Amino acid sequence: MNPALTGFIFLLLIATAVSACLMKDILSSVIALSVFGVLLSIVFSILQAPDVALTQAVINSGMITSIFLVAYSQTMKVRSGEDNTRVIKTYYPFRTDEMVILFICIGLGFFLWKGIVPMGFSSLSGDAANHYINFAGVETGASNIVAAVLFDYRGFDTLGEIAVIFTTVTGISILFEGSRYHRSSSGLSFIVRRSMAFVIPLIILYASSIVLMGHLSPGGGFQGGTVLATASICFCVVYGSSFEAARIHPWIKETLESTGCLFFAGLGLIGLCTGAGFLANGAAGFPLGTQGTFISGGSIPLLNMAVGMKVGAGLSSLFYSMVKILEAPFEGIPGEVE
Amino acid sequence: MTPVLVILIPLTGAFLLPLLQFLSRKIIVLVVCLAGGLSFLGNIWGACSGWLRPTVHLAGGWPAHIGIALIHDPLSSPFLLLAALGFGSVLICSFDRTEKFSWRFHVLLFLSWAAVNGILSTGDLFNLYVFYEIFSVSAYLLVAFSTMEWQAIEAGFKYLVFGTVGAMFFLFGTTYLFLFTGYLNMARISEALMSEPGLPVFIPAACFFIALSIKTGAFPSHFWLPDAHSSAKSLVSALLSGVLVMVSIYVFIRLFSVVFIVLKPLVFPLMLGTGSLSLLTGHLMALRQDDIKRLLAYSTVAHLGYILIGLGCASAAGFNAAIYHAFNHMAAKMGLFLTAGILASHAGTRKISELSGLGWDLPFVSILFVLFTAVLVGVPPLNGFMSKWYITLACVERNQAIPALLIILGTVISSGYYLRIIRRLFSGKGTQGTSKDRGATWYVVTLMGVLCILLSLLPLFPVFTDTLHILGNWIMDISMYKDLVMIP
Amino acid sequence: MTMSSMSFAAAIIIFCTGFFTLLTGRNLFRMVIGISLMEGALLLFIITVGYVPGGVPPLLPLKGLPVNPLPHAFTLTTIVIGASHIALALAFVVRIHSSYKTLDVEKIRGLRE
Repeated sequence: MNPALTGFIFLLLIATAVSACLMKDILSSVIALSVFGVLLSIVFSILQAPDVALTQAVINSGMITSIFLVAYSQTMKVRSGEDNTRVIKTYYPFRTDEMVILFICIGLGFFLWKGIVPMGFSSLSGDAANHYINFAGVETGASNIVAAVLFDYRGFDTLGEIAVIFTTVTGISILFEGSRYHRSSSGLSFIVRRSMAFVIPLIILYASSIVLMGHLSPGGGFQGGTVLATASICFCVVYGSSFEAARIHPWIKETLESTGCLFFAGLGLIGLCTGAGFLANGAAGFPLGTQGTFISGGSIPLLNMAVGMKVGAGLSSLFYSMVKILEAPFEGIPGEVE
Repeated sequence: MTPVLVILIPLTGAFLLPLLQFLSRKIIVLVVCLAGGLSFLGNIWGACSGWLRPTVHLAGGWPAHIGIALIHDPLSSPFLLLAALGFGSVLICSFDRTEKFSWRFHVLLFLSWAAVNGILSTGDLFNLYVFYEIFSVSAYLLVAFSTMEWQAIEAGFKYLVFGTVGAMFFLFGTTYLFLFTGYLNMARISEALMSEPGLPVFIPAACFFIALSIKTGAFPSHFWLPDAHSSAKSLVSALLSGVLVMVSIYVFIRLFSVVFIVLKPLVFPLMLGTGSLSLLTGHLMALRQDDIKRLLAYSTVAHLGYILIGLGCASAAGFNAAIYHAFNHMAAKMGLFLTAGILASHAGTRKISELSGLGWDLPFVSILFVLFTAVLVGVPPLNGFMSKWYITLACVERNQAIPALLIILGTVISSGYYLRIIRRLFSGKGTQGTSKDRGATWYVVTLMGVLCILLSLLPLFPVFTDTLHILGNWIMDISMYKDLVMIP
Repeated sequence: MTMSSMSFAAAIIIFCTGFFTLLTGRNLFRMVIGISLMEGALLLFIITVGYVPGGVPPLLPLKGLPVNPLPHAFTLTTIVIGASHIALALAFVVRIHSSYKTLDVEKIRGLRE
């Protein structure tokens, strides 16, 4: 790519990040953060990482921005006084303690830079990477090397990752226990509602294709599952928050999530039982198929489906937990500060 | 096979519980007990097999440099045992009649257990990061579990912010090591770093040190610890102070003795300094506290200081003493938090000044409280004294006079604040009346007392000193670890 | 200025910006925005470590010299874990707000230090 163009994109990235830091209004900062996320995803595709670009766009720019906006709208209901204007205005644009912190951050930056300079910005491939590039197709049957690394060679990490999402979703359910849904304003207009009825099936089809073709092209369970969760968020935005809650009970999503996790662990146990090691693929007897066709990759498509089910149900119930109105009273609301 | 099962059993238990949420309470309790019992047995088995014959399990069947290797070796077995005892006791306490039974609490407990076992079993740096994150997220949520109290939520948020910053530094360190060597397996990285001398290894070492001291709660970043450990329920505080901080100590030992062995002269003195400062801060801040649980939390910071001083001596004796102290601290601190919880709920307040006379109301609990404080202060025949003595000996062996003096100073200061509580407990007349219900917590507290006495008797047996020697030698000599992992 | 050096520089600058936002934010949301910026910078850093100049994406059949696929795998995991942290932090912020009715860090008792 043209170096000037890439330099410009990096500058834009830094500018968005700095503006997310310096803007006074929280909503503007959140939107700047979202733009930062999209630009970062573009930078990832420039750096030849399509899988990561897709995941970044869907999860960080899509899901996290919507959760930010939900949290912002939940806290906008009651505000006491001004929150984010600086009380003390000195001559300098920053207060003194902020200058100190600025110097600390610049120092941190220099310190981190020193670790990279001696390597001369060259990349060291290493044995592991060469092995993956040369043998992933043959040993796992998948065309997407990153999916092979994620679900076969380092599948144990992926088990940990789904446990992190599981913990987060459980935790958010705990934090918002004892609240109920509020019939929000009636959603959006009639035209939007009618058109969503055409678009939603296509979104679900797109999500399914991302999940099922994860071993052939960039994509996989995490990305597809998040797009599925996005479809359920569309329901909330377009039709009002009690629409989906009335039709799909929260415990259905919890059951789907647990089933996805247990399915993943179960597929791993098959490998353990045949003596090949936990989460083994070809060695455990999964048929590897012909590389490049739909039926290939051994256990990788199955693991993708388990993860997609789990992530979709989990993130959807996370969103719906946060949309509830907090009604339970709390004991010991603090009065004045000591 | 064992290393995987140790992680998989509690994880499957956690995944299974939401499927059972609409069944009757008896079935859920049965499943929890079954999963807990199996996990406990799994940990004990893992500890024994790791000690007698170190095992490696290659996940997916791929060799260590391509896939993920799970290892049980003599370093992880004492910690596995510690986790089994700690989590087992907390599980029994969670069935106490005074606690409202919530299956989600058990989901978090099992996830935390699986994460701890994962950290103790893994040989891969990024896998360590992932399990460390499961461990941290479940810890934040356990702290915030009593959601009706604003203190707990605030403490949970503060812990989350600190913990996330620590996680990011951890990942920076991992990425730097990957940039330098191209591997993520700890044994391979260690070998690659030893064979290439020109790399700036102190930068990832500094990143890891910052990350681990934030996550452990050592001196400059201990600010989250008193809030989190005091605002949580007593049960959770006992788990956090007793077991979960020790897991971070394990990561300290594993990382700095295996991976960064090239940097020995730089890193271990830094650990000594951090340990000394944590000791001072912990004890001095504890003197000023009126809230009993906050005092105990600052005391945890101080004892972390003792353990870090032990590690910082960088000798077999130092490592042994630190691990022995970790066991003693677990037994005594869990006992203290649980008894403090019983006393505080009986009196209705956590302020020490209002606990007068409780010693006469609840004599059994108070006697145990006195026993546990004696262990932590270091009264001679008890195990606390033995482990502090070993640490001081290790310091003196290395000509580190200042930490040894600080240990003695710390003993004096801690006796000051503990005696204040005991005097308050036994002053005046009993006013509240005795309580007749003996919940499950009382059994666990008794168990902890018995454990302390057993640990005190251990140094009398020569088997114990031999065990400590084997442990120390394994930690100091990493070629055995590397041969185990890098099977050609 | 090669692509790698620009990318590393950008990642470190954004990380420090995020850290600055975290430390000086007066509003709880600003702290979470700071954490989010730090996570994004870390992802960029990891991907740049694996970048090979003139490389192609690691998809078979390869059309040239592929970039290192291992950082891509652990970046995916990091994105998911980072998103979990932020979602949890936001849930905490909403709960704290419902107790205190304010988001100002100075007015919230325990976060004073």
